Amino acid sequence: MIQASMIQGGDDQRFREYERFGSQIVLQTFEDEFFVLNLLPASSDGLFVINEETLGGLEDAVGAMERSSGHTGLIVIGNSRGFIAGADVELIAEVSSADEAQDFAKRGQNCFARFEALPFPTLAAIHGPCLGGGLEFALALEQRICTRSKSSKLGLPEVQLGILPGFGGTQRLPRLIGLPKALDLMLTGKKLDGRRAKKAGLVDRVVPDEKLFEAAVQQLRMCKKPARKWRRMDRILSRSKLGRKLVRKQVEKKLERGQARFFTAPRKILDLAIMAFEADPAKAYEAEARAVGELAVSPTCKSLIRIFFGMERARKRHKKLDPDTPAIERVLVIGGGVMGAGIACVMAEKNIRVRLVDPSMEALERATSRLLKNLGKKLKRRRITAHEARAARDRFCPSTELTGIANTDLVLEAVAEDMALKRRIFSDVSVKLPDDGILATNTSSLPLAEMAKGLAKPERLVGIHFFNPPEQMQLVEIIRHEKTSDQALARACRLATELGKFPVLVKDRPGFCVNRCLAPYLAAAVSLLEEGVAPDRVDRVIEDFGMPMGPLRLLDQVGWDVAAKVCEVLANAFPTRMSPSELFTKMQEAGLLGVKSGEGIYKYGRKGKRTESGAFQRLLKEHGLARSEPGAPNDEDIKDRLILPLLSEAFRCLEEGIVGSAEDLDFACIMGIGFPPHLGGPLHYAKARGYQRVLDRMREFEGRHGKEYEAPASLVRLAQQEGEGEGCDDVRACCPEPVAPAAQETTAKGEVSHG
Amino acid sequence: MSKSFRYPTTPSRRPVLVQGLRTPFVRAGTALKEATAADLGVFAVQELLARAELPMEDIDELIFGCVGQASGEANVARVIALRAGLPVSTPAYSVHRNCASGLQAIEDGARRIASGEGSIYVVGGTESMSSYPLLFGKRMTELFARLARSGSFFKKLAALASFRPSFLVPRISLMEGLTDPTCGLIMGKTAEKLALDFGISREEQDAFALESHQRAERAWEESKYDAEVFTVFGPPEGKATDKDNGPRPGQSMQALARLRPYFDRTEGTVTVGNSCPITDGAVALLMMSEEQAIVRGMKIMGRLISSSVAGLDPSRMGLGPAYAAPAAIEAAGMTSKDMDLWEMNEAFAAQVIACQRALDSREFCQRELGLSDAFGAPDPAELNPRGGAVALGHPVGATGARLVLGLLRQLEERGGGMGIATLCVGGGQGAAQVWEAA
Repeated sequence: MIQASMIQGGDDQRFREYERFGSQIVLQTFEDEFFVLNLLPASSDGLFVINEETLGGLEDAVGAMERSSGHTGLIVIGNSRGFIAGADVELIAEVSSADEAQDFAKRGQNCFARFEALPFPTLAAIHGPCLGGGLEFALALEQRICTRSKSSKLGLPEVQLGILPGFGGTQRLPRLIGLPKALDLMLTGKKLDGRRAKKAGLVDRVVPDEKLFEAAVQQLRMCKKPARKWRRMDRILSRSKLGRKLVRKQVEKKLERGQARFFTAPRKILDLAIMAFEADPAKAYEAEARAVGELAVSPTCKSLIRIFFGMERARKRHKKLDPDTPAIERVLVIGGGVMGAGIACVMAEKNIRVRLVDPSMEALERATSRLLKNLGKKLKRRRITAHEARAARDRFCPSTELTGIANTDLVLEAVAEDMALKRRIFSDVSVKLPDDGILATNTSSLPLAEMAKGLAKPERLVGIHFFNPPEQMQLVEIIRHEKTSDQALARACRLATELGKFPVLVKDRPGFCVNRCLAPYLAAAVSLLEEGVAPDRVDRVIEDFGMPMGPLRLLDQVGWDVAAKVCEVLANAFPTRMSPSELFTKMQEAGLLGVKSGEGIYKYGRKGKRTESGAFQRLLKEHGLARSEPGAPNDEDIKDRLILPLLSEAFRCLEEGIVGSAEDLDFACIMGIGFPPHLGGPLHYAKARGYQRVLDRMREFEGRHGKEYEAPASLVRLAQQEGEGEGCDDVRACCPEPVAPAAQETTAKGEVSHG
Repeated sequence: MSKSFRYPTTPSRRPVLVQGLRTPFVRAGTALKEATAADLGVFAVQELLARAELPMEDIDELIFGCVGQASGEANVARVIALRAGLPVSTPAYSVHRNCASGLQAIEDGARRIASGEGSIYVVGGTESMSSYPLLFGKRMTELFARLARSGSFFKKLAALASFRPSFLVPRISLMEGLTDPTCGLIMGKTAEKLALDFGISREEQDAFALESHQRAERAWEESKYDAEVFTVFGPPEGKATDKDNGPRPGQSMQALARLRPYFDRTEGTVTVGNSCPITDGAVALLMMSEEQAIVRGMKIMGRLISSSVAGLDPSRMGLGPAYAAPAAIEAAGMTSKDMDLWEMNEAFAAQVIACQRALDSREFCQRELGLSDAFGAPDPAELNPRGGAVALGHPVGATGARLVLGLLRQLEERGGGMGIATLCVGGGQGAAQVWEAA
């Protein structure tokens, strides 16, 4: 902890207030020798961010210092919560014209340039987050020191919002630490802790939290610029024309691959970083500001900011439900299959004591080995220390005995999808579980309402639906059935957040949100196969659309048996739209289960090599499944054949209130399905494309291919409004009839009448 | 000289055992060789507390026995407690009475309950004999120190020049640990001495060893060990270990006879076949005051009645039980005949046979124990009925706790009774505890 007195002086006589600039910036003097610029948080639980007001304050502060005389240094210091968390994202979200953004960037550039030009040594004393504009500010000062605290994080994450560092960061960072390292930071948006920041050359000294101010004074009094040495390779790659060319080539190659190709900001960052060594500084800064302006109004930026807000909402979800949600510390996971084991591994790594129970010793062996492998990999990459790895292993207790219930905060079942089995487990466990313990299910298809029947305390049953593989998938659906209490939901959300996941609340309806939107999309992919379209063509079209993985590859990953089960549940619930193809049964009968059996639609060789599967082609022929229809679809048709059912289901999910808002639904589809992030989610995409155009396309396909393409009622209404020029932003408001709570009860068919 | 203690019978001060578990005992260098003593202890304590459904916060203290504590796990009990997830505010300490360390941990917990200091203790023992290191000798250590001290390159060179290949001869900590530092005899030699004293032949020893293997094998076949052994998913790959691997199926007299004496190559009778193997394993037990167990509705496995420790000639350390057992039984106010079951550690077949002979010998009992007549040896059928350390192995710090756990599990199967757990202790001691099954 940083002592308050070190930051604000307190009663300390050595500090004297010089001037205040707004509510967040206080300029002090220290022993009449140095200026100390204190940055205070906006609120007690907030952070200092750069917005109109604070930037104005900084401009005034630098003006005051320019006018002063007799001071020999400046220390800029944050507060106990952090340094500067960057520019205000709300502000970026609201930008409506390129000029507006460009002007703000220029203002920031000018302000920081004045700090840089102060006639005395300047230093940033960093503790906590120092990100984006905050790091750019620190870079404009002469020296930077940083605490060893885990909360100290330095980085330029602008790229994750589809923009770039616009306050001179693209110029100062490469000049400070060299082109390769600067590009690494700016293109990935990764955040470095103090130790790594020192290693990268970003800060000059790393000190214990308590010594931050003392060290800052020491550094200034030394009157010597700290020595900064580059590695030879960095020097060659940054300072020589040939080196820079090489870097450009390498990075450009990377940017053409995978999802990077859908983003423009990385390319601009590359151009600007190289300009730092080639162009006239004034021109380079000008170019930087211009780039910010262009990017800030781009649809990609708006989409990415929506995702950012989605993450923020998810992170705070538990607090909104119940401000004092107690943490989950001990979990009992029942069922050591692929999901159960994966979830237990994530928990053990994230500081939760987890007991994994399964009657099968082999399953527990696999689970333990999975954890040890995960840890081994991280250890090798130095992401964790040997001590941390061992502590994670210690938190993981595999056992064949269903015990250890009394001392548990949450029991999560991840056994086979068998209602009777799940109910038996919950009733067995309930007896010994503490009163405030939570019962959670990882079911992906069974209704919670039925599971809760007969439970002594149905309000403590909540669904926590992880996606496969849990180590990588960041979305978690938190499912509430009719009786789930807010407390139980809040605890489940907090658990998900602490596991580094993003919880989204969904209603207890078949397929919840993600699987429900996913299923018709996958079904459409299968029917295209049956029409004789080549599998890799289907996948390529979708990957070109921006999904990380084509639908057929995804089916192979998930496994045809698992997918068939989910599709079956959904087909029962929505028979008109989601009748399953017989290909699912045929694939299972032929043992073509996908990656896990080595062969599905594709054949998987060693090292994940993917080739066409002969067995699958034979299967198609044998069963006469491949009808060759006249008029092979073009790429655009293939794309819409797949995407439209997904869009349509997303609208229906919103109509039925499965997810609370269009924003959360889009967020869930991006994080859970991999819907192209730059398109902002299915609803956002439909809006951008034009509701009427989407509707027309759906009607066209409905005539040709059937009910799967029936347009949802809300889309029809939205298209109408669009035509009338009303521009409805709130998709929810356009839902036919906001579903009344009474109608939320799942009916046998799972359909809600559209009054 | 032996010291004995009779435990109070008031429920608030009477120590009882409510739950116990152990890892499989596996020969050193096999299935669990990558696990350290603390690892094994952590596995056992976590599983024990989960099965007992007891909140970790309620434990007063954790006491563990361990003989060869690794340098990276000093006070291994505290390491186990913290790693297993006990609160930092729960103290823990390790005890060391050589082979009786596990028994001593129980004893320490029990004495604390008897004194009223606390009422819930996790006790036990752990040993990873696979992890016993080879050490650099003194001269190599000095060379390292000199190298570290010398500042200049030339001084370092000079230091290096003093190196002799003989410096690299390691000290084998396992051998050193098993050698008595006062009489200079390795444990096997003390067994040889007893074989000579009591005229125990090679065949007798081998027959005893064979019986031990057969009993252990039968007990495993009849699932007698299932309740006390849990599956360990050990490093480095999480492979499951669910059985003791010491008992050799199909062990025979012929196979045993083929082995050469290990400790006295030419004239000896003690072989690796009739001694206990070097072993890894851990045991964790949950002890409470009787009152506490009743309040919590815990099933009581057994009540501790009395205990004793004895000192004797280190070169005949194997006779320890012959001194300690009578003292403990007497303290309980009982006689040899009152014991329904004996669990006597089998460090060496010769040593157990010697104890039986001594207890049946009027002369020994008069001279050494000051009794008027022979104390009375256990009925061989009631001595280690499920096999002993010759078959199961002897992770030195853990065995004492295993004896008590096994004793009470067997008495439980029989529906009650009185039993004694006793061991010989390197350095010339004996230790024993008399338990009554609930």
